[in-house]
Amino acid sequence: MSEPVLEARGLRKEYGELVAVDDVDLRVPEGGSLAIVGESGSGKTTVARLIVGLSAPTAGTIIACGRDRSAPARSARERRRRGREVQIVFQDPYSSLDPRKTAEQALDEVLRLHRGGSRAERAERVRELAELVGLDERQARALPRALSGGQRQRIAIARALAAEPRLVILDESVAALDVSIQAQILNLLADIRERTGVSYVLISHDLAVVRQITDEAIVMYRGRVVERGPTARILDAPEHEYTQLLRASVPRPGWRPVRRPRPQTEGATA
Amino acid sequence: MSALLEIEGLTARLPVEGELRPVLHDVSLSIGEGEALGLVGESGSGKSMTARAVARLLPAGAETVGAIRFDGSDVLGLRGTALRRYREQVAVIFQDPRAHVNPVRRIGDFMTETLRLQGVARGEAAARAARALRDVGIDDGERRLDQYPHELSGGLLQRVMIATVLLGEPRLVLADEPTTALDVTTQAEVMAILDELRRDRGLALLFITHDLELAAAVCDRTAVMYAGQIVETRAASLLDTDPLHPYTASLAAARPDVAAGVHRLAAIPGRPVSAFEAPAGCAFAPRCALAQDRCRDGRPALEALDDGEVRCWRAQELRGRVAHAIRGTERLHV
Repeated sequence: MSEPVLEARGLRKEYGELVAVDDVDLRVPEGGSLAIVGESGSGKTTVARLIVGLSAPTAGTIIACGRDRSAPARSARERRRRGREVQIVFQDPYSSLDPRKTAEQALDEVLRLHRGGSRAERAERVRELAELVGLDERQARALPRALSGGQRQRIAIARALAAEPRLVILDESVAALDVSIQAQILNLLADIRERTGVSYVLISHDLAVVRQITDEAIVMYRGRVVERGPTARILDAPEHEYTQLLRASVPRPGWRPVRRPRPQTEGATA
Repeated sequence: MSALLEIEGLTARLPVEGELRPVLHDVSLSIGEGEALGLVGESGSGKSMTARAVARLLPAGAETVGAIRFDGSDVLGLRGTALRRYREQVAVIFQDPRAHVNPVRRIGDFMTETLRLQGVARGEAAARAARALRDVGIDDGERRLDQYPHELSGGLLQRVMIATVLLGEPRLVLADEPTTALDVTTQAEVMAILDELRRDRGLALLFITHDLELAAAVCDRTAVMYAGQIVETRAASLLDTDPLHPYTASLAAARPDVAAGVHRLAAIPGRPVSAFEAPAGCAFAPRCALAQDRCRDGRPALEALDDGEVRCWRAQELRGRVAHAIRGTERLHV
C-alpha cells in the first residue's frame, strides 16, 4: 500500500476539564476520501482543526504528506509548507471570503504565496482554477457580495485548490447550500478528485452527502471513534448503537420520526 | 373540508432600496382544521414570507394583494385587540430558538408571560408550564423553569419553544424550519414530539422546510414553492413517487441518497431565483429539463390535477411520468 496522505494516531485534545477528542486514529490513502461523521459536540470539527493546524493536539501524532505536524510550525517557511499541503473549505461561504477581494484577487494571493510564477503565469492559472470550479469571467471579477452562496463556495473551493494541496478538509462545506446547488458542488468535488488525485477529509453530519463523496468513514460520538469502515458498509449495516440511531434518524420515504433513547456510551472526561 | 386557513391569490411586495420588490406571487393554499401542510422550497422561494404574511409579521411598508382568511374572517386588515386575539390562535415556532428568547430572563418567566398577562396566578402558571414541559419530554420541568436559556442545548430549547407555544392553546401552528439547526437525532425527536402533540390536540400545522422527506413524514399534504410561487400542492405521500411538477421531481433527483451513492447527482443547472428575478413565462423554465418554447412565453396558472394542484404548461401531457421524464434527462452539469 502506498504511503497515506494523512495519518493520525492517538489524537487527544483537552480544553481544561473537557476532553473534546479522545484517542482518535485515522488514515487517508493517496487520492482517498474519508468522512468524519458526528453531531455537534462529537469532536469532529476539533479533529479538522488539529489536522489543519489551527490548534495543537494535547497528545498524539499527525503525519501529513510524510511529515510530522503534531507540534506547531517553528518557522514561517514551515507554516507555508503545511498550508500548501493541506487546505480547508469552511461551511459558510458568506464569512470565509475577504469581502474586499474578487475571486481573481483571492486566487492570485494564494498563488503568489504558495506557487509563485510571473504575473502572466498566475493569471493563466487563475483562469484554469475558475474554469475548474465553473465560475464565469464576470463572477471571477465580482466581489463576494455580488455572488450567491453556491458561487461563493466555488470560490472557496478554487482558493483551497490554488495551493495544489494533496489534502483538502471539507468542513461541512456543502451543508449551507440549497439542494439544487449542493448537487452541483458535490459533482464538482467528485470531478476534482478524479482529475487531480487530491484527497478529502469530509466533516459532516449529513449521511447522504457522506455516502455520495467518501469511500471510508469514521463515526465520532462524545469525542471518540465508535465505528469505522467503508462508508457503504457503515450506512447499510451500522454496528454501533449510536451509528444505528444516526442512520434511523435520517428522513426518507416512509420514515416516521420517533422518540428514541440516546446511547449511554460514556463521554470522555479528563 | 372546511378550511381553517385560506390564502387566496396572495401577492406581496417589500420595499428594498427604495423600490417595491415582489416576494410572493399569486400564492393560494388552504389548511383544514387539524391538518398538517408542508411548505417546501429553497432559499428565496417565499416559504418563510408566506408564513410571515399569515403571522402578520411582514416588514413595515410591505404591500399585499389578495386575501388571507382564518376561520372565515379576513386576517390582513386586523388591528389592535382583534389582531392580538388572532395571534393567540396562531402561534409561530422559529428556526433559531435562541434568537427568540430573552437571554437574561429565566425559562419560567418566558413561558408564563402570556398566561400572567391573561391574569393566571403565578403558581398556577408555573404548574401549567411544568406540565407543558413534561408533554414535550422534559421531566425535570420545575428545575428547568429556573434556568436561563444559555444553560439549555439547542434541542432542549426548541422543545421549550414548542411547550410554550402549546401553552397558549393555538389552533394553528406555523413552524419555520424548527429543526434545521438541530442534529439529525435531535431533529427526529423534536419532530416526533411536535407531530404527536399536534395530532393529540387536533392542531393545524403549516410546516416550513427545505426537506421533502421530512415534510412527507409529518404532513398530510405538501406545497412546493419556487420563485415566490406555489408550483405544486399534493398529498405528501405522492410527492416522491408521482410529482406533478418538474421542479419537485428535479429537487428529489438532485438530493444524494443515504441508501446508495451514484456516480453523478442529477444537479439542476443554474441557481434558484427569487420572485423579483423570475423571468416572464414559467419561473422554473430556464432550469427545467422538460421546458419547451411555450414555457417561456406565458406564466402558467395553478390548476387542479389528480387531487393536487400544479403550475406547469406541460402538466396534463406529462401526467404520471414527470419523475421518470426528469430521471431520463439527467444532464451532466457542474
